[in-house]
Amino acid sequence: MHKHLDKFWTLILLGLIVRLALCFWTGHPWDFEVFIRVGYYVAKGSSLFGIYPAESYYNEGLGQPIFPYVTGLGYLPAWGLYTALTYKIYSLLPVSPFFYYFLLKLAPMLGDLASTQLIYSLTRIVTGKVEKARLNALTFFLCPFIILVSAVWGMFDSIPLAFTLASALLLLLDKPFLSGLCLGMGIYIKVVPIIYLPIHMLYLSSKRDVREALIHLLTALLVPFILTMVPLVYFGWETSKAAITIFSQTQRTGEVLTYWNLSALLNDLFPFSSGMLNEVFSFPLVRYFWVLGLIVGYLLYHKLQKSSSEPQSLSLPLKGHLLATIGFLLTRTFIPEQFVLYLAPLIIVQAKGWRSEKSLGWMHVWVSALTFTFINLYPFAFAYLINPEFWRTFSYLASTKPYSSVRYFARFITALLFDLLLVKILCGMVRSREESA
Amino acid sequence: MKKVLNLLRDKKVHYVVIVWVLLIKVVEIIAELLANIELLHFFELLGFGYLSTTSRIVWDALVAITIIWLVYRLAKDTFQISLGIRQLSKRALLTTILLLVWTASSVTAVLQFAQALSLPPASPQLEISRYYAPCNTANGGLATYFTINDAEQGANVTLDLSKSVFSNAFSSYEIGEISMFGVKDGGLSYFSLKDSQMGQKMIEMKFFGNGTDGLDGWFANKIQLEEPLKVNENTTLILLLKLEPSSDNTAWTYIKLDFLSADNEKYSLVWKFHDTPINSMLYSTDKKMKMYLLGSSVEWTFFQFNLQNVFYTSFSIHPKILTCIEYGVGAEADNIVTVHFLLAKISDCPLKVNGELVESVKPTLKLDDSGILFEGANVSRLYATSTLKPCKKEKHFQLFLTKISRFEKYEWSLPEHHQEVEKQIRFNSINNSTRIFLNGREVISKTRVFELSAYEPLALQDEVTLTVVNEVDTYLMPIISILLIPPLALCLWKTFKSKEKMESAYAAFYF
Repeated sequence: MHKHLDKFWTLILLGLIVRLALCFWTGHPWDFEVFIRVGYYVAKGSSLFGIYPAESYYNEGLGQPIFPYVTGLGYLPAWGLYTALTYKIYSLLPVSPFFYYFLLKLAPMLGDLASTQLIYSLTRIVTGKVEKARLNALTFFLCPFIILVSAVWGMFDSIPLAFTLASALLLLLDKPFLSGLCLGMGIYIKVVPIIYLPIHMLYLSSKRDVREALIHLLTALLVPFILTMVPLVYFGWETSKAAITIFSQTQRTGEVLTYWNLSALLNDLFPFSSGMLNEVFSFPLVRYFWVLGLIVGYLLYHKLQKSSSEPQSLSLPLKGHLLATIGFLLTRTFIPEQFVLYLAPLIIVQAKGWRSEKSLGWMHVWVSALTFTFINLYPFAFAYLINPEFWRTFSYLASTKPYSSVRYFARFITALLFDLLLVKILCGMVRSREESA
Repeated sequence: MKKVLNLLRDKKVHYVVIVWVLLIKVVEIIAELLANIELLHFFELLGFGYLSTTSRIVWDALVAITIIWLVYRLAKDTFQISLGIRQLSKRALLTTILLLVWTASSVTAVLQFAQALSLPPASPQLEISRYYAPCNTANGGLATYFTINDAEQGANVTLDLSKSVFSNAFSSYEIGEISMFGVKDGGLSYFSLKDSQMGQKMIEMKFFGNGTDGLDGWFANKIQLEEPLKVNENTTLILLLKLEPSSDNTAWTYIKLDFLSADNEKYSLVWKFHDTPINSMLYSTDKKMKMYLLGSSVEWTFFQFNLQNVFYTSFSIHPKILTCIEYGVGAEADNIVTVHFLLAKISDCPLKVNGELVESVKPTLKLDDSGILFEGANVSRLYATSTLKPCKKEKHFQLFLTKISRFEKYEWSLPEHHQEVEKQIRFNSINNSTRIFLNGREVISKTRVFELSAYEPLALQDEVTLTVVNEVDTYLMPIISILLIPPLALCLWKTFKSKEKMESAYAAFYF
């Protein structure tokens, strides 16, 4: 890619064309179907946090009837309102539903673009090199895994990611209030960026003062709170249901891109063990293991900040972000693949150079995550909007032995490899800190 | 490995874990407190109210240990107070830990097995209820024979008089002399003969009060018998009635019988039934009327009284003839009360089933060769419930990794024409964790009785297979107990061997 850096804008255009070519006919059979239906019902006046009538769940002509009904969203209202807005726009125009699917993916694709710009800016600030900044931006924007999550899957994590990166950038530019505002927006779209708040607080307390850290904290928390309450009050949606929807995210069982998915393998091999597995995953220490992961991440960052020869180093908050993300990914029992996006800029920006880096880099991470994604959901299933048989074929294979057992086993191994990569990155960071100390 | 062990010994790591556990406990306490506030019930989701008993015990124990650990840690770091088991070698320490864990897991496993074995059996009974037509009548229609086909000989059969149909159930039911007080105008209070949904003839009597609180009102129908009835030693008053309760517990109904004694003196006996429990008697001032107060009769209740005996114990003389029957119903006038009589009959003999005096609405009897012989009343349709014995019974235990399951399997072949029959399964014992499978399909029953007709497709099948599964969670305790035996044995063997070596070395030294 080094050779082609002079064609930066051509490559960005290429990345956009690839996304546009893939976006309107693909989607994750569950997540995207949820977005399609939530957009339709909310636009028609239903509560974002209500329970829709089961018989109306599938709406003829929108999405595919692969599930008789789907659950609602487990996020704050931002994404639900966006899906409703896209449906409203689509319904005003005499166009095919594929245009609706395109609109749903437009925001995540713009999120990719915004994140790319922010990676460029962050790298320039941290390294001061334009070439390096372009390389990092392209590494992110042309990454197949990033393209898959936004343009194929339809998941919108690139938007909160862009806000988080903007927040980090503003932090480095000494604008704590605006930084808090951006982080608050990120939290409003998806709650995950809240894990970076203590890092920002520690950084601000050390670089500036506690008062500014508190202003940052209040801004980051008040923005999502106010933006959540406004539609709840305006539309008369039930606050308790909104809270239940969001709180339910704290108790997901061991699934997806984590070693905890061993439970799914065990459940498949020994169906009678489900009772005990449920017992294990509902046990307080397992359910809140991620709290320990985050505490350790924050403590490591605090140590790093204290021992750093340059306490005001620009790369410090990014390292803190990376520590918090790894701590979270290694301990939470439910890790959807799109959470890998939060790792991407942190690893990319801090890598010393493409290919020259001896330690494990972003490529290892995204290759293992992509492998996992294609084992978890076979690639052809993403084309379910064209033909629901693609989903049914996957569903048959995923639920019929011995294919299901092979899938669960492969999932566990790739997730384990992914987690080992994270551990190695973490160990590398700790070692380099010890060496520099 | 060494690094990990060093990390585990680091006091900072200890504090991080302590803070983590206590933080979760704080979240739990706050969530539980907030969940008690009406608008904040949703905080319940962050709490651990869903934990099973075992998980709850483990979690509480962990919190307690963490607090003790924190106290110890603080004591050690602040005051240098230290506790240690220094005299034990590494092997001895490992053996002790293994022994403790094995003992704990073995005891727990044994208790779990004991619990599984001592679970009370569900012992379900399939009851089939239906109407039977009489096979034969005798004794002028007062004796009726029934054959119960569905039950085997010697089986218990329960009759339900309140659902059975009687012919000539009333000695008199005409409209006679009506008297009333405190009733609302417009014919809202009445005495009439009606048909029930099950085809039974019944007397319905209603008192519709005028709404005055504290005022006793009534409605009564007095029927003079055109031909007075002679009272002999067997003459019996048979009553089967149900009184609707009032809102203020003041409802009652009565039946009053007027007699003439041998010297043509008028005497009266009254049986008054209330909607609240009562058991008493009253005499009129001239001692010529005696009132028996009985209750509560808000469900179908059955009574039969030998008139000559009651009369004699009341007035110490014998009655000659019965001249008048009066029905009454009443309450405080701010009530509306209805009473139904399914049987109100003066019979020449008491109601008997297979020679036994009937004492309740649902008499139970053992079935013999001759079927059922009814005397004292003419029954045209008899409602009876018999218990069908299972043709196959099985009980076995299964040990899984995480639980011990006890399976009780029962099979019944249903009689012909069973589709017109009401079927229900009655369990001796089930609890919240009992799982019930009816013809292979799981059914939910929170009560000890459930109607088979509720499961329409199953109710039509000719065979019923019921599997009752009771589970005891073992949480791998038996497996842990077994797996620990080899390393424990090895450790013990090595410990004893080294002890023997030492002893022989001592012996050699002394010799």
